Amino acid sequence: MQESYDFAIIGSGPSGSVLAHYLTQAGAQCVMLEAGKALDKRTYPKNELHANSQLMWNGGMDTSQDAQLLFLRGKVLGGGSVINQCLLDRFDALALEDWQAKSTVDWHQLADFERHYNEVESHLCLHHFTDDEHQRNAQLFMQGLDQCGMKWTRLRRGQNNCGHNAKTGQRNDCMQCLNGCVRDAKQSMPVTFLRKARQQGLALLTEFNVTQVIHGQHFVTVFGEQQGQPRQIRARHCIMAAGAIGSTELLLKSGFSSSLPALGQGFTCHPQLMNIGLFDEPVDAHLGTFQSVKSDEPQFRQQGFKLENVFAGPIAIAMLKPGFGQEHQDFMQKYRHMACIEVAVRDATEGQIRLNNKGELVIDKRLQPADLQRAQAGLNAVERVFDAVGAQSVLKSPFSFGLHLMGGCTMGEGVHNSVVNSDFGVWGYDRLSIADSSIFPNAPGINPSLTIMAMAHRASEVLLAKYPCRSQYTRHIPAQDRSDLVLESVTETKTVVLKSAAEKSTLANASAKKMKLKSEGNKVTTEV
Amino acid sequence: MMSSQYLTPRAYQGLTRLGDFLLPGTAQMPRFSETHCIEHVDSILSTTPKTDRDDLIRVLILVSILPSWVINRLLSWSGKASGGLAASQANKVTLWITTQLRLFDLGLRGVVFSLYYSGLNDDLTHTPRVYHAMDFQLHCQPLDTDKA
Repeated sequence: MQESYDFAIIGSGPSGSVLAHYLTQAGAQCVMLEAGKALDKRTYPKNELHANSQLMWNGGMDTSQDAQLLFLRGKVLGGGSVINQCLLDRFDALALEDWQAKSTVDWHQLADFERHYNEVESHLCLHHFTDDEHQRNAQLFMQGLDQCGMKWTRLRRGQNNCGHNAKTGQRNDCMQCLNGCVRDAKQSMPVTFLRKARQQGLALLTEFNVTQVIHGQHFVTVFGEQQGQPRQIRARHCIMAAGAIGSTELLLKSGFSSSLPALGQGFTCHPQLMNIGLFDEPVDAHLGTFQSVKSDEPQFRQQGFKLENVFAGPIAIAMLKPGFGQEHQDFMQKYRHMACIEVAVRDATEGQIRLNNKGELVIDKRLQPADLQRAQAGLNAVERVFDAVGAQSVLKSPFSFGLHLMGGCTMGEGVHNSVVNSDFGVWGYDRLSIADSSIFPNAPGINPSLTIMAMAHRASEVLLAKYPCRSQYTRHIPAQDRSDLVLESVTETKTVVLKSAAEKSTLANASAKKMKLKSEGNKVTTEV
Repeated sequence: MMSSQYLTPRAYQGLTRLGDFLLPGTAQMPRFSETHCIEHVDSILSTTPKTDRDDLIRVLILVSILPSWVINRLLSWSGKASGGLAASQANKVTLWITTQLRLFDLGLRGVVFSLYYSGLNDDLTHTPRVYHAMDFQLHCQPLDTDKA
C-alpha cells in the first residue's frame, strides 16, 4: 500500500519542525522526511571530525563554484538547529523594508511579524547573557569595542539550563553544542517543536533521501529511498523545508525549472569571516558560554556587516591558517591564546543555485567588489578592536563560511521573478508550498533562525485555512481516545465526518466514494 | 598497517607522505604519522561524494610518487590561491585555474588537518600528543537524569 498523508514535510529543521507542530496540533496527518539520522543527546558525536562527517551534508565541505565559500548545512534530525548556536534574533525594520521593496509582499513588515514571533517564542526558553557569564573571548571583544567607541549588545540564545554557575565556578563548554547539545539545553528542534509534533502523532522517516517530487492533480507523490530501499509517499500537500540549497536542488532535479524561471536565483549566505587575534595570556575562547556578544553599531548595520565573538574547534581553526609545516603547528599550539571575532557580511550581490550538465549541484556564489567592500570594512573594525586590547598579531580569514543559507526559491508577486507567492505556494502548483529560508527575498543581515520559525507558523495558518478538515489518512490514536474519534475526510465532492468508532462501518460501506477503511488496533487507515 | 576500504595502498601511502609533509612535527607537536590518526580516514571518505573521493585518490597516488620539491611547489601555489579574499575572476581560464588550486588546497589540507586535529588516536599516555600539546579539551556534563 502506498503511504498517504495530509501533508508531507521535507526537512526537519526550524521550518519543518514548526510546521509539523502546528499542523499535527490541528489534527492533520503529517509525515516528515529527513535525510539525516535520528541522533540525540546520547548519540551526538563528541568529536569534531565525526561531527563534520555525521551531521553535515558532504562532511561540511560544500563549496561555492569558485571555492571561496564553504557552506555548512545540517544533515541530521533537527537540521541546522542541531549544529548552530541557536541565536534567536528578530528582524529589524531595515531588514523587512528591504524584503518588501524586493518582494512587494504586503505582510513583510514588523507589525505583521510580531504575532508570529510572539507565538514561536512562547515555545522556547530564551536567554539573554548576563555579565557574569561572559568568558575571556567575549570580555576582550567588549573591551575592544568600548575602547573604540563602538556599541555592543548581549546575544539572545535559545537555551535552558546550560549548567553555568558563576558562584560555584561550575561551567560547561557550550562549543560542544556545535556537535549537538548533550544536555538538551540548546533549544534545537528535537527538544522543542519536533518533540511536540511527534507527541501529536507526526510520522517521522529519517535517513530518507528524497529524489523527486511529482505534482499531481489530487496528490503530490514524493519519491526517494530509505536505507537503500525505494519509497513513495503520497500527500494531499507537500511542503518543502529542506533549506535554501536542499529545497532548490530538489525542485531543480524534479524538473520544475522549465515553469519556474526564477528557480535557483537570489541565493545569499551572509559570508562569515573568522579572524583570530593572538594574545600573551590564555584566552580559552573554547571554554564556557562560547558566544554571548555582538556589535550593535548602527554604522555597521548601514555598512552591511556585524561583528560577533565566536570561535571554533581545532580542525576549523587549522583550516583558517594558511600554509603548512612547523610554523603552522607552532600557530596551532597557541590555540588557548587565540581570541576570535567574526565579520558577518550582509550580501550585496546574489548568487545562483543550478545543476550542471551532469545533473550535479552548482552553487555559483561569487564575492563581488561590493561584498568585498563590506567585508573589508568589517575586517578594518576587527583590526581596530584587537589593537585596542593588545593583540600580538591578527590573522584575517582567508576564506569565508556560509552558515545562513537563503534564497533560491524567493517569495514575490510574480512567476517571472519569484518561485512562491505571498501564501507560500509555488506558482502554478496548488499542492506544493515552500516555507524555509529559500523563500527569503534577500539577505537580512540578521540570524535567520527565529524568522524561519515565525514564517513557518504563518505558513501553517495558511495551509490550515486551505485545508480546514481533519485528516482522512492514517492516524495513531491512543486506545482511551478511540471512542471520541473525530475524523473528517474530504473527497473531491463532499466532506464525510466520522464522529465515533461506530460510524466507521458506515463509511467503510461507502464504496461509491471509492474509499476503504481498515482498523488495525489503534491505527485507522483509509485508502482513496 | 593500512586500514581503509576506500584508499588503495598507494593512495594510503600518499596520504601518509602528505601528512608528514604538512605536519612534520615540532618539539611539542607530533608528526602526522606518529599519531596514527590516518586510521580514521574512512570517517571522512564515507561521506565524501564519490567523484570527489576519486579525485582525491588520484591526487594522493600522485603525491606518493612526486619529488618533494614538486609537492612543496604545488602546495605553495595552492596556498597562495587560497590565501585571501579576492573578487572572483572574470576571465574563465584564470577562474578555472584558481578554483582548482583552491580545491586542491582545501581538499588536501582538509583531510590531513581533519585527521590530525580530531584528537583521535591522541593517546595521552604517550608523549606528547596533539590535544595534550595544545592543552585542549572540552567539558560538558550531561544532566544527572541522563545517567540513570
